Amino acid sequence: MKKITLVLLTMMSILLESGIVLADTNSLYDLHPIQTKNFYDDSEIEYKVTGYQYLKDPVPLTDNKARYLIIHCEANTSDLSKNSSDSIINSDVCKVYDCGHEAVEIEDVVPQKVMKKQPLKNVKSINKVKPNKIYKFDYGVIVYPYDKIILKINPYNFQGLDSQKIIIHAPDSKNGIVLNSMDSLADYAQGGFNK
Amino acid sequence: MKREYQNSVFFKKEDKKYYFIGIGFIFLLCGITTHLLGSLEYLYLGDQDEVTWFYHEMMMCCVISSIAIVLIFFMVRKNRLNKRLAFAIDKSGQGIWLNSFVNLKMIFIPFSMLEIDIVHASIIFKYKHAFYCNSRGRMVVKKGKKEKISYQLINEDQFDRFVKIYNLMSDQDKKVDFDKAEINQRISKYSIKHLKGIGTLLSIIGIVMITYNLFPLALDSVQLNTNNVVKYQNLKLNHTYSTSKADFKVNKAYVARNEKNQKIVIFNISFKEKSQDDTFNIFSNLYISSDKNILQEQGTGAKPPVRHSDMVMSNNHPTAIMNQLTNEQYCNKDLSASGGTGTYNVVFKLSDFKNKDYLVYTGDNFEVHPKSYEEKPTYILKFNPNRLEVLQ
Repeated sequence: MKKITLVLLTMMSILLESGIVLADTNSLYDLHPIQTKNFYDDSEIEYKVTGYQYLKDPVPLTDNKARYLIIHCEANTSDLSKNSSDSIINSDVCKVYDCGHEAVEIEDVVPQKVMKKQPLKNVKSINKVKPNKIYKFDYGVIVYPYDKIILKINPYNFQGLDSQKIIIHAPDSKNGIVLNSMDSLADYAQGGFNK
Repeated sequence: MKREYQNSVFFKKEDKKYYFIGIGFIFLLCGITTHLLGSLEYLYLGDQDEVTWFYHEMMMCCVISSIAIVLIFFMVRKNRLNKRLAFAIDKSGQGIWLNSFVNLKMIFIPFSMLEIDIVHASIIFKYKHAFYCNSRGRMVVKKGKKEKISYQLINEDQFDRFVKIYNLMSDQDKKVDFDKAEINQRISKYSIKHLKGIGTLLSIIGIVMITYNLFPLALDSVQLNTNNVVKYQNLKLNHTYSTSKADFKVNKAYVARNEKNQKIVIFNISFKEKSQDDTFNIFSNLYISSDKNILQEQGTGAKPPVRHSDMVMSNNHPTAIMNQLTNEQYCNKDLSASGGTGTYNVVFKLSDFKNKDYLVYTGDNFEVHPKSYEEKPTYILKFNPNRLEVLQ
């Protein structure tokens, strides 16, 4: 009887553990929609941040624990006067902080060849915009997802919206060094990034 | 044969100035040896902590043995000649007794087999055969030899009397031609003046060489500390260390192993930047070292933090360390979310066998003297990795 109970308990623990692994690692790469008020820069271009997403592929070559984080943004030029055709899409729509520090932007480190392919194709600066159009573009950074990750929308306080902080990941840790097992990315930090 | 003497000549109480020169040479020799060992150690520095340790031990051995040599030198010199009998005429008037210096045995030389000569300032006893009693009390014949005794070591008046008696007892052709004034003149001509001064100078040079090589910090740190340039302290948790550009506080310190089973130390450190300096750079300000003299040695052996390459073993699982200090620009006011403040985990690799390491916070590179650093002071904080909390 004892043996049967032990075998059952072991099987249950294996099943439970594997269940957590699958759920957490996969949810990291889900698209997270964001709804905020729109805001305007000096050229009267209207901006909004629509969501963020970690990329499962490609991953940074420098460190397999790091990931590309893409922030989806939109720019609406309907209020742009017809004469101001030399306006550009402002790249200061948002900022991402990894561990309190401004994260490295993808464009600074990823080769142009890779940048021209999906899913990084939209991470680019758009120059010479036309009026009455909606431009979709991405802001991309490299982060360690298990760190404290903060997304700051409208960091320079353009009109229409006070700058807004969204905590993408707040580490749950007892010792401040490694994540607790209850943290959503505990498995990722324990090597789940290799899967 | 009875040992009965007359007209004995004793050794003088030794002149202390000879000690000075002897000790001076010993210290100088020891200083040169320590310096050579120190140079060898410098060549092999780097990650080879064992080699460093070995040479330190060797240098210590060298110093201890040289002190021992000085003591032995004193003892031997003191017991060897001081007021001992050098030679004497036998009471029967048949020959002389001479100190052979072999177990301080007196040997008997009959006048017929002896020739005494004075060359420069030395008395030379030349004999064909000599006799002495062995431990069983038997008479033993000793082969002929030349014995030389310096005139400066023996009592002059006693020798004067000895020569007079000897000349009376010996044959005409064996008489000693002795002129006290002439010998004294010869001695003063060839003797080294200022022996005491030279000996003291040599000793000082030797001692300075030893001190500089063994305890470079003793010379330099005093100089550094006076200007509040470098602070040597024990690492205290939750204590704010302040420099001209930043405040930092070590909140927690853990020892752990990485996935390659190497020993690592993790400091959870809060920083606050005080300056508006664009070049402010925490990452390159931090090091660990197993050597306290890291500044004097231009940073040889200083280890910077490891970047995001290591996984730490936590509950037997390799786990990533969160909020790890990996970037040179962390905590820069322009680039941080909270205006120049932040808490990061700083990871260093440790040497396995050390029980003493130093966390170094320095505002500039090691090639410049800490006095010229813009950010002051430099902190050298001692900790024992074996006493840190083990990361679970």
